[in-house]
Amino acid sequence: MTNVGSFALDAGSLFLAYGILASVVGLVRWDRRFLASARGAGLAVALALAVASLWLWHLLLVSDFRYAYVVQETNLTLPLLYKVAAFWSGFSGSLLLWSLLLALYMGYHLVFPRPEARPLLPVVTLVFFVVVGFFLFLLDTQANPFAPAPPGIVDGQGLNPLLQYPEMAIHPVLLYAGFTGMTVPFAFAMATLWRGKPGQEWLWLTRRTTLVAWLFLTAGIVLGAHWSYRVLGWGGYWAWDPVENASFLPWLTATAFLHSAIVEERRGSMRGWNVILVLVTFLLTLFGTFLTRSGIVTSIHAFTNTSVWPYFLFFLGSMTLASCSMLAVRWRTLGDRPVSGSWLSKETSFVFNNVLLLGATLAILWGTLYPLVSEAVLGATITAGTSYFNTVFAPIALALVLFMGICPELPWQEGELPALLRGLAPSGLVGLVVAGGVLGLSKEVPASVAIGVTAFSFATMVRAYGLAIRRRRAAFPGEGWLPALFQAVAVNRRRYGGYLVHIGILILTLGIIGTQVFQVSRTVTLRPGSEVSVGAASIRLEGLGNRFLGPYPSRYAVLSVRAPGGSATLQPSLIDYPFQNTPTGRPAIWSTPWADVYTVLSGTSGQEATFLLIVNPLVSWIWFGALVTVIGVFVALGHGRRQEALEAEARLAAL
Amino acid sequence: MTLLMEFSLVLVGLIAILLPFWPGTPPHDGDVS
Repeated sequence: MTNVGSFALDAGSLFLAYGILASVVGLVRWDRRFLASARGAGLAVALALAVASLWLWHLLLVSDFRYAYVVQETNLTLPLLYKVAAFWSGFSGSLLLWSLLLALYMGYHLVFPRPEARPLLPVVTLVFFVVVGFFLFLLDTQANPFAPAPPGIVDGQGLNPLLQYPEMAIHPVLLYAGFTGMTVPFAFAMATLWRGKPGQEWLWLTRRTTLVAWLFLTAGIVLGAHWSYRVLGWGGYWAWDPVENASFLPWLTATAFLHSAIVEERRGSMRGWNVILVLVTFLLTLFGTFLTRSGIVTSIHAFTNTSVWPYFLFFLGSMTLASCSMLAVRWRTLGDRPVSGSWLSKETSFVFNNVLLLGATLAILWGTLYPLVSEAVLGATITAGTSYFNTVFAPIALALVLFMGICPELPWQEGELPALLRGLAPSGLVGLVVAGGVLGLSKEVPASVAIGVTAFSFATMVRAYGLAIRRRRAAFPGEGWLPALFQAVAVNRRRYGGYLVHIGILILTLGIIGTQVFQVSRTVTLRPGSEVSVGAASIRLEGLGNRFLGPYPSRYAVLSVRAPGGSATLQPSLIDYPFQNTPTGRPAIWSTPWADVYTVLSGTSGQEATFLLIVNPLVSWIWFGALVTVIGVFVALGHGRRQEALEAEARLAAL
Repeated sequence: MTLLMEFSLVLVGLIAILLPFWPGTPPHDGDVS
């Protein structure tokens, strides 16, 4: 058989090896022809990976069981969507997706370079070659998705049924696009360090590319949480599992960078810190991949391949060493200025924001690595439980939310307390009233404080929009409220896009508080006709039955649910998947804006059935908040870059 | 068919890396530091 996939991977590796050579020769001799040739090699590598990927999709779609990967991940009855998604459901396929996305990012920046990016491209290309090269090496030597299967196989093993859910087709792609996207700002940062004397251009390039990757990472993380909630049947959406933490760590440092970048843009300080954040974010994406793909920390939903961990460790070590060396050698060329704001200034609040985000990163990293540390020191593997993460993260998150509300009211350089208090008074009043209301209704003090703080910050954001509309209408009398809003946002899309992201995060935060504090859950055994109440909902078992869900036999229950908002009929199932010893519960959920009624059939015995019944308040707000966040990023990304550049240069010149 | 794909991949790749050495190809304006 002709193996186009393996051929393309080999060709890609050769082009890449040549690309590294041409880059080095071009950079050392500053020879334009070699540098241009290296860029050509970059495009050739991207093309080779695209061909390999299309070939893998072809094999999966035509069910070519001569290939081991097709046998492992699909079977003849698998629906088309999941044959497409099987590309990234296994270890070697996910490595190929990783390489493909990296190559596409590289190809995009080579074909459509921004004018200010052009001088950085030679080193950017070289950095991409090194990172793509590592994954190509793994694909060629450790996990080839085009490896042959034993002869005579007529059907495959099929995709893990838990992954057969539409979101699972897109979640890994978004997550990986987020992870690999962090390589772009890393490459620009390394190129900036190499070149020295960075101007504003490094900041636009790294901030914008980080924001794109952040968008994908956010969407990927939330979709993963949503899948976990809708499919896994435990009633939660985030378990502080190592895989989840691995995606959250670079998200935190990238978020820190997106904020501290504003300080550099406006005040010219924190440049060195920003470079460090960009480097650390990239290293954390590698570290997370190492952690979850190596099998060193066990996780419920990561596929592991224990043979690759030495390579990952070596590569992670090399990249850390390269980053640190580059930083040490070129630190002086950055031309950093010290942060010069008073205690009551935007500068200081951004520094606090960064300290909190980095604190959260370290705390979560410690908790994730604790099983390893405890094994090394105590000789026993002790896992940091959910309570550790919740206890550590909740106060940090609350402080971040508080700063979200205070920062927009602070001026740059030096603010005055009376003016700050006047500015915060309306939002503070909203926060106090909401906190008082929640306390009166629930008697939960921590939750009331958390919801009050969130409402306070929410009010600040709404007030910022209100002020923008008022200013616009003062300048253009007679303009309607809505046109004034759109015009005000259009003039400064980045600021108001950012505020919309904050509004999204605040809505999401309320959803998290609602589910964490006010969730009510019961495990009950019911007979047909019997009724039970969970929180404000009454749930009655109408009957039990058997049916097929797709190709899988299942037992199901009919539950009628009555709640203050209306009534619904739910049919949770217990599905017998092949290759699994025990049936798996597929939850049935009644979602309303105020609460979800979440039902899981855990087991049946004769005419009796056992259920996990949960009332999850405000859980829909998490998904809605994430959607608002994504829209906010799109608004912010639309900001005119030329205008931004001129504004920034003018501001810095005036300092 | 598969042979054609492999051949095209190599051909396009070689053109991409060799083109800058072709006499008369204008240098890329981004190479100037």
